[in-house]
Amino acid sequence: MRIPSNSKGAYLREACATALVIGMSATFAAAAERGGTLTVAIPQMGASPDPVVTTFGTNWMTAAVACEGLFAIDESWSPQPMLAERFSYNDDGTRLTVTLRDGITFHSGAPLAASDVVASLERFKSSAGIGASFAGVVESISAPDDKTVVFDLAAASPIVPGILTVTPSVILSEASLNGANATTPVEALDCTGPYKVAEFSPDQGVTFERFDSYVSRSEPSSAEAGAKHAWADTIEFRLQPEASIRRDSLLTGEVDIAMELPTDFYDAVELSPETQPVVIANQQSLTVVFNTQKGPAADENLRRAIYYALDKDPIMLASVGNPEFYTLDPSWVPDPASIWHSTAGVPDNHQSPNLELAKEYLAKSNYNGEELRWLTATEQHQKHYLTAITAVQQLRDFGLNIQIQEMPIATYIQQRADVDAMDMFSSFLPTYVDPTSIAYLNASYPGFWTDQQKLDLMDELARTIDTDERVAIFNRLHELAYAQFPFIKYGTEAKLYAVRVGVEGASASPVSNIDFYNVVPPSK
Amino acid sequence: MLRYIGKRFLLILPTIFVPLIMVFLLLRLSPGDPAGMILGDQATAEQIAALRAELGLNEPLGVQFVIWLKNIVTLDLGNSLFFRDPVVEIIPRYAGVTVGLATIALVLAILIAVIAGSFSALKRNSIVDRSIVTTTVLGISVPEFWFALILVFVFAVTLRWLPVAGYTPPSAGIIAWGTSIALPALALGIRQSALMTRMMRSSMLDVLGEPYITTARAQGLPEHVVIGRYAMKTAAIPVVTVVGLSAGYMLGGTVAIEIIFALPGLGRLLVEAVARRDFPVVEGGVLAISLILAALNLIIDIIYAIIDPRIRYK
Repeated sequence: MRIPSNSKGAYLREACATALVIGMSATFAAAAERGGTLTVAIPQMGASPDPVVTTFGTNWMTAAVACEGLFAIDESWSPQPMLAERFSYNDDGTRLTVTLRDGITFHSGAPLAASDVVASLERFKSSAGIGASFAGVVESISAPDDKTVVFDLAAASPIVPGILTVTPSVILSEASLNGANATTPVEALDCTGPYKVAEFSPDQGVTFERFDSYVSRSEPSSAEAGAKHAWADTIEFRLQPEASIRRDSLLTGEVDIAMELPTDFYDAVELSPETQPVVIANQQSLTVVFNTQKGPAADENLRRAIYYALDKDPIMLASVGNPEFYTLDPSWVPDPASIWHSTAGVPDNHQSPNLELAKEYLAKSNYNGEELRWLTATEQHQKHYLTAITAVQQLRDFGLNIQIQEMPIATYIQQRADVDAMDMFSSFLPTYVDPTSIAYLNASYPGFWTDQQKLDLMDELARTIDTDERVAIFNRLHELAYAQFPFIKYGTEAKLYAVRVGVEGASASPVSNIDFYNVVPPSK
Repeated sequence: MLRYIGKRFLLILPTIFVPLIMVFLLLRLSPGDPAGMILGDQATAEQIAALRAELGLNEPLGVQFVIWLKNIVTLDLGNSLFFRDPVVEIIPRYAGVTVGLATIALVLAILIAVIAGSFSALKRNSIVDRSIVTTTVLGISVPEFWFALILVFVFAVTLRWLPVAGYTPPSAGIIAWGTSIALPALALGIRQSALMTRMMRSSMLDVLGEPYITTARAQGLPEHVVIGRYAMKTAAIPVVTVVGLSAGYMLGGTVAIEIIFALPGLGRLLVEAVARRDFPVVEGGVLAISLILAALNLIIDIIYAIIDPRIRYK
């Protein structure tokens, strides 16, 4: 069965309805009362609550609840001021000046000052991942007075507020950073968020307590931006790595929210009168990334042949398991709510294979039956292996010689970074606030897409201020990728989690579903 | 007796050091980079290389081995690459959960085995005997994780007598601790109890056929004295061997149980440390398990010597 990209099933319609309910949060917000404990079963947690020391987003959950940055992202993926009161660029776009809000204090009681922002962001600047992108744009950060932070940029760039929405850019008190650097974590998070970390037990969970001195923004809540209500007195994260145990804990009422459930569990939580599913549509793209530098996959014509040979629907079905939980949308940026969602350059009939064209490109390529090494990580069996095994079967039928190499994630990360050790690897791509942050577009990211035209477009995108012009540039980049295929997207998958009846305000937005400070626990 | 214990004690040293050296080499020779796991999948090659240098992972293997050996001898196990805490502080926290779990599971298994095995032997070929034998075959054949999920479904989801998952430390109250550990201990103990029951039954059947048991009965001793004082003591020797093996197995078998029930135990810590290439924690964990196993074996050997004095003179 082929699912058209613009057709979404009942579950996704339900997701939209849930989103509508979330959108009406102001209605319950007026009626809700503070109190109670919100208990959340989570599948994994980091060894430290400090988000700066790792680029694994799953390890940022604690900081996302307890900390805040200068900016936060709203439901349309736009950066909005959070700790910033206002911000402005100079005329040539090379200096960003941010004025901090008054009356903000850290959990330790110390007032927020510009020196805290400078210290936190200097540390962020020397960290891996998006921190490195920030370092590439920002030459220096200074604090001319207690309430003003100035960013001097290497060149005119509009992307700094967007970068400063990511969790590792949260602001910690300068005093708490004592001895910490980009790879050494702080001993405790001293932040400004609506909850403070009361207890962090690695491999067990986290307990948050409401921060009574928190000063919320007055704008309506929107994803991570706007007002933060802090409805629950206490929020508890309980680490439960096994998905069926998270589901059972929810069914028995031991937890109020069970995060990251397999889609197979939809019926169980839907049929129970005490629980309800929350479907986050358009969560992330499932992809395969090619080694564009070395080996057979460096041949553009071979990559084109692979794209046209793939039937994407069975690949998504194998991974997700239910056609209601995915679409074959071709945009790299999976959430249509983002201004960066694009279909530029997407060939007609993208969803179906075109074997004639695939054969033409294969004939034009220099491929002579060499073995292509396709890496997958054991820990990502559903997203990596199940997509790979289905795609490889199709490509073998087409005549390609491909070997899947499944390995632990530690080995996968090491091997895919070695230009001599892989030809392609399974991956996935969420929506980013700004396309300059998309990992695949980083020239040193595995895959190593360093085409000059792409580098020029990236440079232009980073320097252009006007949003409409930037969207046009990104569309050209999107088009280029659909001509060169440094990676191939099969489709977009939805994500499932579930809540107890009585939980209000649970978010179905792909922007953020961990804004637990805006969730009302059930009365017990 | 002291000489016997001394000899056994000396045999412990290779039991501890051989696995440790193997783990050291395997971790460093197998692919997978701790720096990559610390920084995450968005880190660049340059950032990973810089962290490798900072962690001392770029030193030649021989240099790393000498440093490691010196640290082990001085009981300096280093700091976790992820937690940043000293390994000597981390391991006891997690080992306490595992030892508690394995001990409860072992006690449950022994109790079930002694009662069911003896009863089965005494009622040989009866329906009860056959039922027990069939149940033990089932118990041996089914893996722990399956038992665990069934127990959760029955006792937590359906009956709601016990929590689905999670761990409460003994400091929060012995009942709360017992409640949190009951299902994991049962899931871990069932398989071993089946194994021990079969051994107990078989051993009891052998002993019950011995002439000295017939003599004891012929002298008119009450049956509970014949069984309790004479038969069970002799029948216990092979069972003690199985108990020792089971204890070792349980320390390894806790991994799946700890993951399912979200228990912060040594097994889960080790598996996760291997996955993220946290070398010091893996080495510390293996050292802890080796020490526990060595201590267990020593205790078993001493129990042998107490039960059967002939052993200490061999």
